[in-house]
Parts: sequence; structure tokens; C-alpha cells
Amino acid sequence: MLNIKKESNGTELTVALEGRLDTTTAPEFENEIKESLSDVKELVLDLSNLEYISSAGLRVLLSTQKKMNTQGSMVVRNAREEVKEIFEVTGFADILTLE
Amino acid sequence: MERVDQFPSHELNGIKYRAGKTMPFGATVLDDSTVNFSVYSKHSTRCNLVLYHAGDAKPFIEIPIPDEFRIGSVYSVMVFGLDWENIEYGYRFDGPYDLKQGHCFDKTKIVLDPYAKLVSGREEWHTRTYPKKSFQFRGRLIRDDYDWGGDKPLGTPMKDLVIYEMHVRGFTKDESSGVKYKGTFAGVVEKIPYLKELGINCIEFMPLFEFEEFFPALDDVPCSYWGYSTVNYFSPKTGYAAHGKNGLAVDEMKNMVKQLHKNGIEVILDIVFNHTAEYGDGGEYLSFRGVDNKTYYLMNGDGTYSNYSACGNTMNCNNPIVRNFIVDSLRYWVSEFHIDGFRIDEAPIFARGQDGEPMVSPPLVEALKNDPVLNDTKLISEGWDAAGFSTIGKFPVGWADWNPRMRDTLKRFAKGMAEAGPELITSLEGSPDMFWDSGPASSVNYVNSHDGFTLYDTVAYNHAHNEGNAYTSPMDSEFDNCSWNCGAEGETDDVAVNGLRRRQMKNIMTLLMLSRGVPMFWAGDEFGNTQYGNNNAFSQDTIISWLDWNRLKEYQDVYEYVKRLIAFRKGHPVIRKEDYFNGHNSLDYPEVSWHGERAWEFDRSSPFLTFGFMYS
Repeated sequence: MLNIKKESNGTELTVALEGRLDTTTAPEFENEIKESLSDVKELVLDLSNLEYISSAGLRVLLSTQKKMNTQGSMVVRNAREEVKEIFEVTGFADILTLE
Repeated sequence: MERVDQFPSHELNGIKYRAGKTMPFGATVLDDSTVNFSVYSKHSTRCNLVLYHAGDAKPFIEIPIPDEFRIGSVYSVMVFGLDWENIEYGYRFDGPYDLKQGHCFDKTKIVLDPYAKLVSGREEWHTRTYPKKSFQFRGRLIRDDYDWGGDKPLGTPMKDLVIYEMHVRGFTKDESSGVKYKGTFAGVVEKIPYLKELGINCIEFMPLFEFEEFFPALDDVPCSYWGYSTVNYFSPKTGYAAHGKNGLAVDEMKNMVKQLHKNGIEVILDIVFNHTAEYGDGGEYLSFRGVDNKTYYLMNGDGTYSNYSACGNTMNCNNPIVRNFIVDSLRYWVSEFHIDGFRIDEAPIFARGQDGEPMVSPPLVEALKNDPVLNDTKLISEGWDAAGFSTIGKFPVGWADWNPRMRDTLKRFAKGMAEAGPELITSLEGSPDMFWDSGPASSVNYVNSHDGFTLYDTVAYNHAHNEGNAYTSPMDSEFDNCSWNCGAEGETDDVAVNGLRRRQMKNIMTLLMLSRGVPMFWAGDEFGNTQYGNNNAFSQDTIISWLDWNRLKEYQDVYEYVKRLIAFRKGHPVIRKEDYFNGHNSLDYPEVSWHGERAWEFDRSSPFLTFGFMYS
């Protein structure tokens, strides 16, 4: 399961994810984010409470990154060790901006 | 816009489905929860799709695929509402059981899709996820989209390659590797700066398709470490992925290829189509045997399995269906994983017909070099099979061969056999007698590979020491290692012996790197890695096979020397000539000349121990 918390501050949007980002939750995340991105210049994904990310989860982060590349920037913050490892071994660490 | 062919027409226990798309074969994720399944089986009478929640012993549904969903010999079904990342699948086939006719359908077995793109069952190295004899290798679903960031196969000319043969696990498994992700694709990535400094520009990976680590006739302790028992030809080895358990092997392997390419290093895969992990008579039902035995295997008239591979069975490579299967597999690896080339294990089996006999113009061999996707892909043949059929230098232009004559001749000469001299010269020239039509780049020159001694062991052992292997083999005593221990068998404190060994390693690497053709060496040979005298470490998941990186310090001089040799080779195109023409250059010297004890005086046809050669 995935909880999505959004906090907007002008053109900056922070999205905190809690739970698991996988096949069952990735479409939900994709829909949520699609609705909120229109005027966003700076997107922050706070992953401090994300326990697990699957192959499908990686792909929605990447497609979000691609969208943001055309209208601003995206950073991924506070990923846990296990999630960071997944970014690392799949090479997503090179594509995403991790902080 | 929604598609008009993606709505259910049937339902079973709450699972909705409809007739699938016949092509492509395999399981294809169509959207967030819809999957198309398609499988070939000519001789079966029925086929059920069996779906599991990952990890469950029992399936949650078994869908009999109706006759109206079958076109030709292909069953297909589209299933809706699947949590595709957490599904495992297989098929149950019914049909005749008559081994003399080649059939052995067994409806009590569930088997793996030959076109599965990811396989579960060995996510953790040498560990069974499911019990022996159960449906233990299961298909999984992947998304094949990947952000390659502009990457494609590098296309380095064959003549310019310096090939480094490597076992993914053995390369970094030992603590001494110092990497975080030991024994994995990610571990290889961590070592890229080292490989770049060394100067190699191509890795030939030992098998890394999903394979079986257990020996069928032995208990579960010994490990079939090398990887030549292939289970599936479309999926990477999950046990080589740091997060294979989470279904990330595909992404992890793609990342490895991408990172190697970024650093100018090509990727060649050792592929093993000559036999499968199902072994022969009485072997297990994993996949092909249960899907359509008669199509996939060469059978003898008495209903036993042909065994040209010496591994229990022989794939029916020139059956048109299997031929397409092999081409599909290779196209997949090139187009989806950006693989630069293949080394074909026991390649003569590609040239055997459906009766097992050698063919004059084997269609599979011809097809590969003329394939729209594969025509730039490097193809290297191991040109001998276990039944004594050799194809070295006989495949069409564009193919290359591992050159075992170079391997043996160079070692013999290095240990002081004058009679090896004449053959050595021909080998250093790029073996024109073997590859006249195609050129020196068709000769993959090597001295050491996974088969046989390491370079250090070549100069440290007279005899094989294979006592710890899972079982005995002819390699233990019948194989000519062409080695010389320099005066003591194995490790010694003798300063003179150790000094000579270092010089001998440098001698051998010098001749290898200055030869025309494409040099290849075994990972770790650049720093005197040892297998402690084991010349056949197929079952050694131990420091015998793993690289001992501590030796990099101990043999720093050898490493530095090899590094310079590689740089020298790369800096001098005359060594890497793509033809055998040896005209005079503008200084009126021949491009390569051979000399005896006096310059320009040399009888290359009689035994000798001293010679010089000059590239100009």
C-alpha cells in the first residue's frame, strides 16, 4: 500500500511517499502526480518512509523525471538504504537526482 | 485511445481472459494489469496456462486454452487483472508419450515457457526457491522499457578488440575484490575503473542466461558453478543480480552493459545452445522436454537422447522451429540488451542436421551473419564438439574462432619445445592457413581461458590438481596442459623458480599481445591469479575459481607489464592488420619480418628456440 502526501508551496511541490511503490500502487502514484504537476517548477520526492520500490515503481519515478526535465527539476530525497541500493544497482541513481 | 482487442470474452473463477495475440511468443505485459501469453507446441493436444502468486506452492488459476485460441501450433491467451510483477507462470501440456517418435508429454508436469524473459527458482545463488522435482523454474513478467540514454552496441572493429574472459560471480565474489555488491552484475560495474586502466575493450562473459547450479545426479552440496546448464535463453541469471529476488535482474544486467559501453568496453556472451539443463534419458521436466520434446531435441531411433554435447542431450539446432528460436533469442539480446557479440559453445552443433550428421551448408550458421538485426554482431565459435566434429575456419566469412592451436603452440614454445617453433610463427601471423578467406581477425588468439590452467598455473604446475571437483573428468589426467612448473610443483619459496615464473608469464603475454588476430585472456591472468592447479574448475564455487585480488599487489609487475602490452598493441595498427597482405612499407621494410640468430636469416620450417620478429 502507498500513502501519498502532497505539500505545495508556489511552484514547488513536495510529495512524500509512504509504503510500497510497485505494480499495484504505481498507477495510483502516476495519476496523482499527473494531476498536480502542471505549474510545478521544482518537484521534491521525499522517500524517507518508502519501504520498497519495484521495477514498475522505478519506471514511474523515471517517467516523472522525464516530465519534469521539460518544465523544471526533480530531486529525490531521504531514500532509505535498501531503496538507494536498488537505485544504484539498476543505474537509476545516475538518472535521478538523489539527495 | 483504447484498443478494441483488449476486452475479455471468457471468465474462470473470477479471472477474465480472451483469445491472445499469437505473436510475439512469450508473455508480454500490455498495460498495468493485462498480459498476453503465447507459446508454441506442435505435437501437444492440450495446453493450460498455470498462474501462481509468486512464492506460492499452488496456482491460483489454471486456464485451459480453448482450441479456438490456437492458430497453427501456437496457443495464446490474454489475461486481465493481473498484478504482473507478483505473478509466476508455466504451462501444462498433454499429448503423446512415445519416445521412439520423440514424444514425452506428461500432463502431471508444469513447465517453463522457453520464451520467458525472467525466471524465478534460483534468485539466490545455489539455493532452491522451490523443492526439487516441483515446478521449480517459473516464468516471470518484465517491462522491457529501459532508459538506454543513447547507447547501442559499440561496433568496435573485431581486429581492435582485446578480449577479457570473465565469470560474473568469480570476478568479485571474494572479499579481496573490495566491492560492495560481490559476485553480481553491479560488482562488475564497480570494477570498471580497474578494467579501463588495464586497457581491455571487450568482456566475454561466461554463461549468464538463467542456469542450473545443482547437478541432477548429486546431492545439493556441489555447485555447477560455470553456468553451462542453461534453463532459459531469454532471461539473465537472477542469482547474478544483487536484487534478483525483487525481479530486478533485467534492469541490473542492462545497467551493467550500459556502464561498460560508456567506458568503451564491449560485451560478448558465451551462449550454450548445444544442450540444456534437462539432461538426457530420465532427465527432469523443466521446459523444452515438456513443451515439445521432438522439436527441441535430437533423438536416437531407439528413443534415447543423442548426446553430441557430452552433457546428456543435444538441441535440434537445425530444426526450423529451433533455428528461429535461436535467432529470436540472439535478436532479443542484441536489441534489448545491446549485446555486442556471442561466443558459441560447442558451435559445431549449429552445423548438425536433424539426423545429427554434419551439414554442408548449415542454414543456422548462414542465417546468423545475414540476419537484419545480427549482421554486425560478432560471432565467435568454439569450433569443436564433444563428438569430435571440428568446424574451425570452416564457418562463413565474418565468423571468428577460438584458436586452440595458438593456445597449445605458444605454451609449448614458451616451455622450451623447439619443434613448436614453426607452428608458432604461423600462429603469430594470424593463422593464415586456417583463416585465409576471412583474415586474422577471425582468429581469437588465447593461451588461457576458463577451460584449463590459468596463466600462473601454466608456469606453476605440471599436472592438474582437480581433487576437490564434484566428479572426475578426462581433464584430470588426459588433457595436455602444455604447462611447465619451472622447477617446483605449485606454491614454493624458491626465489629462482618464482622469478622464472614471472618472466614466463610476461613471455607468454608478450607473444599473445604481439600476435596478429584478436587476443583474449582469462580474468586475473594479468596479476598471476591461481586456481591452485585446477584445470577444470567447473564445480568450484570457492577461492579456486574466485579471483584473489590480493595477488594484484603481489604481482604488480606482471599487471603493469600486461597493461603496457595492451597499450602498445592499441598504439600500433600494424599488429592489428585485417588482412594477410605483408607488403613493404615506405621504408621498404616488410610489415612483419622474421629473423633467426642473425637478422634476416631464418629457417622458419625447422625447430628453433630463438627468433626475432619486427613489425614495421
